[in-house]
Amino acid sequence: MNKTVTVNIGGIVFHIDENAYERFKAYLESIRIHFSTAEGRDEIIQDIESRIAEMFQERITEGKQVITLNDVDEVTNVMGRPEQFFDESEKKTESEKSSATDESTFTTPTQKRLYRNPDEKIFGGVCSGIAAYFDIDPVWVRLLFAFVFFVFGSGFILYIVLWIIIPQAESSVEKLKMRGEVVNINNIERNVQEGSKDKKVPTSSRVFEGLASLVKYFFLFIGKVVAIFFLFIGLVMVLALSFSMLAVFNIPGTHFPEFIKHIFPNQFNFGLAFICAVLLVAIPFFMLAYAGARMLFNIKKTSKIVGFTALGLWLVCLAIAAFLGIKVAAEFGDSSSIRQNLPMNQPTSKYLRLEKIGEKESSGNKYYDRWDKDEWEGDYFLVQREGHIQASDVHLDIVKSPTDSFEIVQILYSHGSSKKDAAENATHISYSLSQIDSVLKFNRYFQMDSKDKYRGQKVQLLLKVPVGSKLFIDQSMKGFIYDVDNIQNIYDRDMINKNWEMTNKGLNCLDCSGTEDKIGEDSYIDFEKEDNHIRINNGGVYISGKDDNGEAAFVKIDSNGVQINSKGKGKHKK
Amino acid sequence: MSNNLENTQAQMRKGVLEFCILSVLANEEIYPSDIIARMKESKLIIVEGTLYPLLTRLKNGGLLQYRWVESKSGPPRKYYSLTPIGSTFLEELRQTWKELVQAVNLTTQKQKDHE
Repeated sequence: MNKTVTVNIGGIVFHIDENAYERFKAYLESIRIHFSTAEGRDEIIQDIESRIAEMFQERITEGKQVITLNDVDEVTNVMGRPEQFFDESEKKTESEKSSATDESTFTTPTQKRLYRNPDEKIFGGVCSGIAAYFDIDPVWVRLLFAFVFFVFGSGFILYIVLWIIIPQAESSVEKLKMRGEVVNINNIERNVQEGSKDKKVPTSSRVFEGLASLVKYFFLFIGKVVAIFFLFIGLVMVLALSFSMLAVFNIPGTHFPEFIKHIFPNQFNFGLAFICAVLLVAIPFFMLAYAGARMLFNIKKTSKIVGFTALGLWLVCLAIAAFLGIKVAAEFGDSSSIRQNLPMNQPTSKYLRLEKIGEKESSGNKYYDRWDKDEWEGDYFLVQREGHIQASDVHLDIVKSPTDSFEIVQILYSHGSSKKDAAENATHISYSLSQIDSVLKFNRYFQMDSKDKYRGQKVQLLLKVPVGSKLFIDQSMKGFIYDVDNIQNIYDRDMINKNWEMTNKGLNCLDCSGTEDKIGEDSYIDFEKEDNHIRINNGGVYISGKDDNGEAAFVKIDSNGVQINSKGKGKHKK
Repeated sequence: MSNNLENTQAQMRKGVLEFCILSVLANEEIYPSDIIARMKESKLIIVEGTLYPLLTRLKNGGLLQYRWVESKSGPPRKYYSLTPIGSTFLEELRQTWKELVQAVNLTTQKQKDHE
């Protein structure tokens, strides 16, 4: 008994034994390959099929309805194998014809291709496919994968990825290409016969097949999730960056550090740089969103126009940004400073009060201003005003005077394309301070010409105080004094609102004692002022009173360490 | 060496194949397998598969034409015949063949005499 297959050859239906069908299919496939490059191959193959149909028809009688293996062999013998055909598959020029050897014209040259091997698989046939490609035993490849799996754990991921990427060798031709064998009728037939013989797929493979498809779907699902994530991130970023563009046009609600505008030689360069900067960031995110959308909706890449346009645009932006960057960087290439003594009247009482004047400029964004207030003086402000630019990078240091009189020195710094240019830029800086007897009023800003560009200009002031003289640093000086050395080693921000005296050792704080809060924030107690009792002696420090809840509390510092006791949040610290 | 011999034989046969097919078709409309039958006698063609690409090429070259004929035993058949161009072409081939035979005879004869 034989199973039969129904086929349509040349428009006529035949019943054909299964084994005969396999051989016949392989034969037709070899013919197709043979004529694959020939002119009018469809017609040739059709003619051949018609003739075969006719020959099959002749072999069918009342008593024999089915095409057998024998019939197929007979017919293929009459029709001939591709190797027996005179070469008409390729139209060659005379010279090529004479030089071509028969061997090369009778067989189709094959390229080895990587396929998954469905005949010898454990999971997906990846290993045996790779083994076939390199013509080695699959066991070695499997061992390698197992090793990579246990050592790095990545073998599993790698396997899954390869499983998805590498196509399975479905047809006989693909299986031959997988092994790098020559695609001709002999090999195809051999392959078909072998295939029907050992289609005994190991049972482990059957078990894993279900599991494998599950894993595959799981990864497809993960892929979709990743796609959605990409799409979301990409879109959000592109949108956010688009909004950031609005900042350039000073649209209310957007904030843009103004000094950046003044870096560039002209408005056009600035605009260009800004657009480039935004695009440099936005394009990758756009492509991310694009890739996400493609993954999500399974859109096949029909053209590479989008990708190439994006890449091209990105590279152009990069080039422009690099060009502008170098151009601007060159403008900062050198630096120079001018040191000048400012005129100053000696105060009558060897006492100076330091104050700062000038309102903080608004950034144009009330939320930003509210957050910024006065705490953050590090922000650099450069504002275009009528007739001039004013900038905020002014700092004051207080040092000991070598003489017995007050002196004030200003150092004007600037960068420039050359030493000369930098010095030129520095001369455009003007700074003023006013003095009313013992009150020295510093201006928060210095000024430059309105045509000047931002070249890192800053003003460093040096107040030289003679030994024995006293100072009061007003609250307003917060953020203005910078890195002032003092005996107590107090931070700048804590130096305000205090009296200081210049001694031979340096600045000495006159009213710093006891007010320091050297205890960590978490063990901080606010004492009510009226009920404080403070005792400092050889034994240590003892402070008692009421905390902000009105409860009794004390702080004791002695040889046992620091002890803080407050009702409700009593803490002991060693 | 035998491989080379086969090679040369194949090349020789190939050269005259076209001429032969056109000659067979010269006076009648004919079905490809009948062409084969005749050629098999002279051992010019061994398998039918060789014929179909050749016929298609000659047809596309305008030398042949065909007509569909219903068949009792299978799909409709293509009956091939010469076109006017094919006839002229065949005439010229005949002329060339005559000259070639003469030339070959002459050359091989002389060679023999020398030996």
